[in-house]
Amino acid sequence: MIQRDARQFIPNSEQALQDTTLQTALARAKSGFLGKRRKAIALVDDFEFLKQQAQAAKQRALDNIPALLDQFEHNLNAAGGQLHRAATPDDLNRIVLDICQRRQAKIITKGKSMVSEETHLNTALEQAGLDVVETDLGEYIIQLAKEPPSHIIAPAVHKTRQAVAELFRHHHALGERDLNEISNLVEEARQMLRQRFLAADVGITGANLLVASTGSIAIVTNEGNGDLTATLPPVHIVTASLEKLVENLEDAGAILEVLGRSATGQAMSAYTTFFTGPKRPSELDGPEEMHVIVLDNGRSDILQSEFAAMLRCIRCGACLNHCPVYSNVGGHAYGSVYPGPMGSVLTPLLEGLNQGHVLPNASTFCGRCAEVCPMGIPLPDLLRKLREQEHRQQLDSTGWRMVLRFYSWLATRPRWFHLAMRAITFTQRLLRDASGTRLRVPFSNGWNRQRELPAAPDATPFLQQWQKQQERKP
Amino acid sequence: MNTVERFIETLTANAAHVSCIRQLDEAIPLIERFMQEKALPPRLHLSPALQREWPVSNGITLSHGTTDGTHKLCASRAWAGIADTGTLVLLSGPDNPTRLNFLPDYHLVFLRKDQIVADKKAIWQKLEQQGALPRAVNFISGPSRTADIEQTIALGAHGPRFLWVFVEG
Repeated sequence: MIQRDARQFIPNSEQALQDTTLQTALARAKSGFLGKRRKAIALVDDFEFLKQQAQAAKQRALDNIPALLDQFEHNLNAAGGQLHRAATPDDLNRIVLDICQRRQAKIITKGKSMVSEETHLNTALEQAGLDVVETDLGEYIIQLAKEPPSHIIAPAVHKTRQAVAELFRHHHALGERDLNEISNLVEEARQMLRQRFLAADVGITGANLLVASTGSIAIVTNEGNGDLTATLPPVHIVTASLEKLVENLEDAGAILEVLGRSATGQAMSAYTTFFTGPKRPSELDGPEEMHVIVLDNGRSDILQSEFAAMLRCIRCGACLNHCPVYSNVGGHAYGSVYPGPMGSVLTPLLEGLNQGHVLPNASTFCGRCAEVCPMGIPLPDLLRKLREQEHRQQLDSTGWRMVLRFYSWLATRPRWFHLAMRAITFTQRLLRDASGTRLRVPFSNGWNRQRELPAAPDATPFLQQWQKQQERKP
Repeated sequence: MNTVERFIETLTANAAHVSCIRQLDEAIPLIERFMQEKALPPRLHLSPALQREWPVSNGITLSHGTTDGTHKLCASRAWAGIADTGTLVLLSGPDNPTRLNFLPDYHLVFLRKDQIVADKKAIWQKLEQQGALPRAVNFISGPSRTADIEQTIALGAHGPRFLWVFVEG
């Protein structure tokens, strides 16, 4: 059983690698995401320019967060909405619960919100006896399976259609029916969730953007579930985090240009909506109340730290899809709310290094995450900084610390270093396997089980060649 | 390619259906034929904005206002179209209830050619000029869809299964 604990990354990934269903699902997801993004970007004249525009828009906002939040509040109030500032996850959950209890709510529908995953809002609401229904199809599937999301934009990416059909048969008492086709599964979820949309007392959604100049929140979806959640119930609650703020609509637009293309390979998702306050007196529909809860949870501190660039993240998931580690072990192995490269940076920052220090090591530093990040976040640099902190705070293993200490001793002594290199070149000849291309190193089964250590060619090592060349010079 | 042609191309690529008409009354026979083909009851629910300008259509029973989800076919008026991404922009208001955009199986949207712009830049400016925004500004780029199961796109996740855009003029 995969454990929901970021410190268990290594045992979790070992299990994930042996899970054949998961491996099938991951392989399919990877090719899907990569191809769609590549095509969408090829259709744009200059994606680099769009990225720069988006980054500049976000940076303008991050440089001015407190003032923008005040401006957002002012404009939201003018439109009849209410802002709540939540310092901690518990604060956010309490504010939501207070609103639900005041409205005597029983049924809550939810659109996808990673912030609400971060605060474990569903658990808090269920403990208070509320009936909470996730309405994004992926979120609904994992809610039935009682699992956390394994991807920030495709929460059920680890499930095959057979697994989904089994869940639906178990949870929906609808008798004998054909659930072999994906379209049938989607149709069944539509029917089941339609009733809940219409019966809900409160709708909770996330937000992709908070626009200061208008007091609007923007939601991007393909299913339309976010809009139904925001429009049908008498109360709309938005759970968002501080870094979703932008100055104005044009800056919001700059971010939308890169979000859809990076996430699902769409120039525009099917639905992008800017909501500004509750129902106006003359209107025929819309919620009576609109509340926007902005979560800090350490972000104000991150903003002042060397990790501030992480707050540019727009949760597109491109770094997950392109990560060789994520695409082999999936999201659950990380044991954290946010997986993949962005999660490996964010988890230690949000939950503390004690809890999250293993995750920055879940990277080969291949650099693809930084290359595909539309917001130009230097993810490998941030991961490296976290590894340094892990080492400084002595959270890494004693064995590893000894290896590092020995290496730093060796690497600062050229004579010994060259001697060691020669010894290694010599001994590795003895450790080659039958094919002559791989090494079998004793006591390294952990490494060899999933990887191969290539053997060095027979040629003379570089430094020796260099020395000889120098000697030959007149 | 001009802006209108581009709009039709991109919106069609987004899995929407597009019909070009000179004026509103040309839509009536198209809608009647569609209802027959799909064996739908001849009932159409209009936004108040459309209801005011709707021509006589004896073959179709009309209703108007917001919806509780019982109306299978709803029709609204858009505020703008964006050619570069195949996107409709609809503004909420007393004349444009937003439930019509999301609850029906079939969503019909009417738009004049002169409302189509090249890209979103013009939209942001137009919106900022409006002063305070309406409660909801809906950007709609095709029917509701999901790829949450095995990365396979299926239409009609929660919102309309079918988006039909009438470009007038």
